[in-house]
Amino acid sequence: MNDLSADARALIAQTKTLDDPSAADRARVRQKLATAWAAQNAAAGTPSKFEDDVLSPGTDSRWLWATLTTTAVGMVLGLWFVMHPVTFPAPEQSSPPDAPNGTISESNPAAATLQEPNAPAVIAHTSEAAFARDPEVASAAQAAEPVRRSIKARAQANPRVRKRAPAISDANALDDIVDPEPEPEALVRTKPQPDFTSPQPSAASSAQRLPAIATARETDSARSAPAARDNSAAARARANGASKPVDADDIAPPQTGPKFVAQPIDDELALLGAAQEALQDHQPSLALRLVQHHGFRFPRGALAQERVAVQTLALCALHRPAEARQVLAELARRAPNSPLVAKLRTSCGFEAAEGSGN
Amino acid sequence: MRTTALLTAARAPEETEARAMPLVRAPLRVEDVYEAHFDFVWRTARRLGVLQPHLDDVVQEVFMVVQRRLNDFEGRSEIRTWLFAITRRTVQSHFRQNSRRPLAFIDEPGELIDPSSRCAESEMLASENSRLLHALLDELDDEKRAVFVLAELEELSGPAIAQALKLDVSTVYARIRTARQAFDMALRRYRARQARMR
Repeated sequence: MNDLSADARALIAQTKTLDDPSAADRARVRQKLATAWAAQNAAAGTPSKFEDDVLSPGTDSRWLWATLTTTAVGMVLGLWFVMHPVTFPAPEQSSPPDAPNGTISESNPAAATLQEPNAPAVIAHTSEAAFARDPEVASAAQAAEPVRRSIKARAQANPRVRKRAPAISDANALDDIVDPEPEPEALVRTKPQPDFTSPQPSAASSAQRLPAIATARETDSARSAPAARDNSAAARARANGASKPVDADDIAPPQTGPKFVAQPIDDELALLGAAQEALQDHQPSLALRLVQHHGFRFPRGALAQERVAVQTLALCALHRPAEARQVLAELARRAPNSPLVAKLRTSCGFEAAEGSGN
Repeated sequence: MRTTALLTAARAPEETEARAMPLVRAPLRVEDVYEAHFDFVWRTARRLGVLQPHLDDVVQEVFMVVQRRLNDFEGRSEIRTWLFAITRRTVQSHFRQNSRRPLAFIDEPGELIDPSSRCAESEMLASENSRLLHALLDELDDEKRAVFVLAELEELSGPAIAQALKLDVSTVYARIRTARQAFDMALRRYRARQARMR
């Protein structure tokens, strides 16, 4: 047992404790794990049961952890992330696809909140502040902005999102990235808008607003596209011109219509939203894992293109350009009309190398 | 995410005799594992060669695996050996995806030490020693490195190391010996280079 010299033993004795993590390391990883587990639980559709007592040893912060991670980072943040259009600075301010939503939300925070009643405002403010502080995160958000837009547009316009896909092997996942039937621009840009032309009762208390919002969401989902198109113009005009905030009761439609049925797209959105969150949080490996999970769960999902887009960005962030290029080439082959291809090439810096070809 | 594990190791002999049967099963929760062994996983990942900027991701991945596989842990081995096996595989996977030293500028920056601090000198010495230790560990191959980390830095016993690495105990002892020799030789070479530079 005397294979080590005294010098080596002294060195080992001096350095034995130097690799111990600091309290900040422990807290940081704990937070990342909470996020990952929440996303995992959200994706699995099971209630999160770690965040409240697992990841915070102190009883004082348990409530905070349970609130922030279980509720916000999981399902709600994923949905909010997709549906909230003013979180990041849009690279193309004049881009029309998001104009109706963007206009409403930017000009009227109340309307933005109304789009997702479950999204806690405090999370939105915290995230926005964080993005505003960190230029790297802001640039990452800009890079991911086209993906987010596409996710939102497809989620709102593509009828395929209403169908849950049968499970197949992951090897066939890329086969699902077939460009769907060419989507007319108008259809992509159209989202069933709340009925702003309905009678406007006077201001109601906030306690009365939530049921009204829920009802609005229920009946919104049942509206026909032409009616939504007609309403979108009115909504834009109202949002641009109105100086007072849009009240929840203003957009509450008549209390008739088919019963709201939860759609499986929510799971897809939550999972992909969590992947994007991870990407913007400089955790590309986590993003990649979530994307792979999405591929397993929704091999024929409606957001397959967006999944590949996030996967490409994550691979680029992980300095794996060859794989990123391969995935992107497959996307370009299967969905040549997708606007994501060119934007991803630009984001990953492939544009110069590949020229104008696929 | 709860599982059961046999808790027999920490029990006093007389207590164990008194309750010889049945074996006490207690729930093993991922949060308990995290709180108790986070430091071990962190240290191990670092000593197996993961650079500081990647430690968060690797350790996080380890505990993701722990969460998924905790049901498989039956308590027949020490949990640290089980965690070491997971950590080692995760680190190897990490190295397959990222070269060990991918880009020079990604390499971990030196600790910023305030020169006005009273402890600046000792901090610099500690930082220098830490860098030296990792440089010497880098010179060992993966098998020797794993054995050396467990034996010399974590002070695990031979049988425990054999369990963690799935090796014979005799093989473990032989490998410890060669790892020590290799480490010592690397240190001597370093000292000789230092002496020539002066």
